[in-house]
Amino acid sequence: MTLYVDIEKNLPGFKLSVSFTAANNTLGLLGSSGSGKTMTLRCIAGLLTPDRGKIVLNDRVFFDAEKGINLPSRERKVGYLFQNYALFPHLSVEQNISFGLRHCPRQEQSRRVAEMLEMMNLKGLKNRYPRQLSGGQQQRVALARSLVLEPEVLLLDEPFSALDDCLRDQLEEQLRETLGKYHGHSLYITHNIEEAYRICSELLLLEEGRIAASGLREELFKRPPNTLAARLTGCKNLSRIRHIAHDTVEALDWGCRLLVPSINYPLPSINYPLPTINSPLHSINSPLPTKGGEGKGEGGEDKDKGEGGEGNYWIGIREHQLSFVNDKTLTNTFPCRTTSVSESPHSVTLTLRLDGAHNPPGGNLQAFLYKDAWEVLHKQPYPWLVRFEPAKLFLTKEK
Amino acid sequence: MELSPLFISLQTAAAATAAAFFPGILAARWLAHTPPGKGKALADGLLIMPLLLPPTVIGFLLLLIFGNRGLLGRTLSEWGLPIVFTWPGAVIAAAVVTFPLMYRTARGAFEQVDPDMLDAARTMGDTEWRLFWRILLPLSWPGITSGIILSFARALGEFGATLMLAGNIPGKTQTMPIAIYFAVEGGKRDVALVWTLIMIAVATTIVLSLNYWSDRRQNFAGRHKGK
Repeated sequence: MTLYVDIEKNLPGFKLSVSFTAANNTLGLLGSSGSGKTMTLRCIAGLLTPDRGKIVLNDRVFFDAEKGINLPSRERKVGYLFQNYALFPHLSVEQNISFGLRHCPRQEQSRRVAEMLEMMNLKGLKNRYPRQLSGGQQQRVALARSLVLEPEVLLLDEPFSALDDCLRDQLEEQLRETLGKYHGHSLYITHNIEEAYRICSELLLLEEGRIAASGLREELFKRPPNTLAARLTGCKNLSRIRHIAHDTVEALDWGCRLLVPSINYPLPSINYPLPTINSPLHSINSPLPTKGGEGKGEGGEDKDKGEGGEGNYWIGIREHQLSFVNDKTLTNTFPCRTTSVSESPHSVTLTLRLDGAHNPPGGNLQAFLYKDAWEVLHKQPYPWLVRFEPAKLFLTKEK
Repeated sequence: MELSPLFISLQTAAAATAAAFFPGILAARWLAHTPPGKGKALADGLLIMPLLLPPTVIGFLLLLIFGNRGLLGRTLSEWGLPIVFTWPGAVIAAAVVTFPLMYRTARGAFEQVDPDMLDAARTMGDTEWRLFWRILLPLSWPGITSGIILSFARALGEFGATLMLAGNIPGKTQTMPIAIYFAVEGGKRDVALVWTLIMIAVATTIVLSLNYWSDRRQNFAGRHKGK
């Protein structure tokens, strides 16, 4: 089973241009609001017509601009779970579920509806009207209404955005279970990073109508292929770099030199150890590298190699992966202080500045700590020691 | 006192409302979910025109169309279906004047329906025609009902266009508003007063039934509780 999508749609002030192939599981479309997620889904469902491109599900061509094919929505057999569920308020739960079964004989209709009511735990509610149901029940009815038609692809448009946090966790569990039972594609869109990660094994990151990155969730979160993907997966700490040695870079926005493990380093390099540089550098005073007057101590050869990759690569580390240590001699460890603290019930987000870094242009480093760790740390006198553990750093392309 | 104006009025208004109903909701369906644009604004303007023009202008235009000099009027006359100074003429005049009310209320009611619901019906295999009957019309029914009532009230009160096209033929085309006008003109003030009281009674009934319908509209689930 494959879903192939390659479409373009021009709207005033917005251009959607996405292409992807979905395999046999739950694919997540992650992006902020206005990134084109819903539009993509509507194009697949046939509720919106793209200007160019092709949409194919298995052997069925839904849309092909060149051949002039545009299957109407009703013939696509696509399940669509709307953000607000779009239940029919004038029909009972039972009537809502049997809505699409018009073509079936009566007996089969009632059998399938009964099956769905059972599966979705809606048995006692079949004569109720949508207004008389809770948010969670409404969602189950909406799912039942789509799944009873045995769609080949199920499209879910932010199914939890209409619910409060408490209910959301419960329902997410249920939905994951339901999606597990359902043998077809599902395409799940959300702006919630954590939700996307929990529900979808494969992710598509969308930004301004384009795909920033796609792949297995573990890969995307561990090594985002570009800065946009890094931001979309929730990485707050990104810095431009300057190449110093084959395994060392200068993080221009943070104001420090970092040892980078060669496996993570996308530029060709020789794998031998160099002495670690543990203190923020003098060269920070002139943050923007210039060809002539920079890096007196460095070999010219190394520097030229660095210039080649410069600007194209950034370095990043996730906020929870910055660690606070007591041992100054560890690799990538720098004295720092905090400029602001934002407290949540169980955690704290700190904004950090490395000592000796003068107004780094890109601004700030953010660190995430649980309250217990914070209790210990905030009693310590400045400077604190923050560590960029080499294995946690990733290099990523600019985008 | 001759009671025929009451029955003629009710019959004419009922027929005119029925005549305005189908074109009204079709036009409403057509324009409710089209994206805004110049074409939409122009079409809306044309459809609403009978409401904006004075009824005498409508009446005169209808005379041009249905009179013996108009092509349509001549043809219909030849077929034995004269319009001018006939009851069908009164119905046509009232229907034209009433149409914008029907169209506008229906459109408002259609626009209130969440478009996602229509899309949901589409993904579940419904044709446009079928979802119109299964989803759109039932969901906008309370709004459309008030449209029907308003149209009926407007048709009942129609004077200018009716007089110009259908004239004042007692027992044939003389409706209540026309009867009042000619009663006053003929010095029969007491007759005019009776008709006026009857008209007030009818109008009150209409207002009450309108309120009743809008109450029902607020509570959708309640409509089915008895079932």
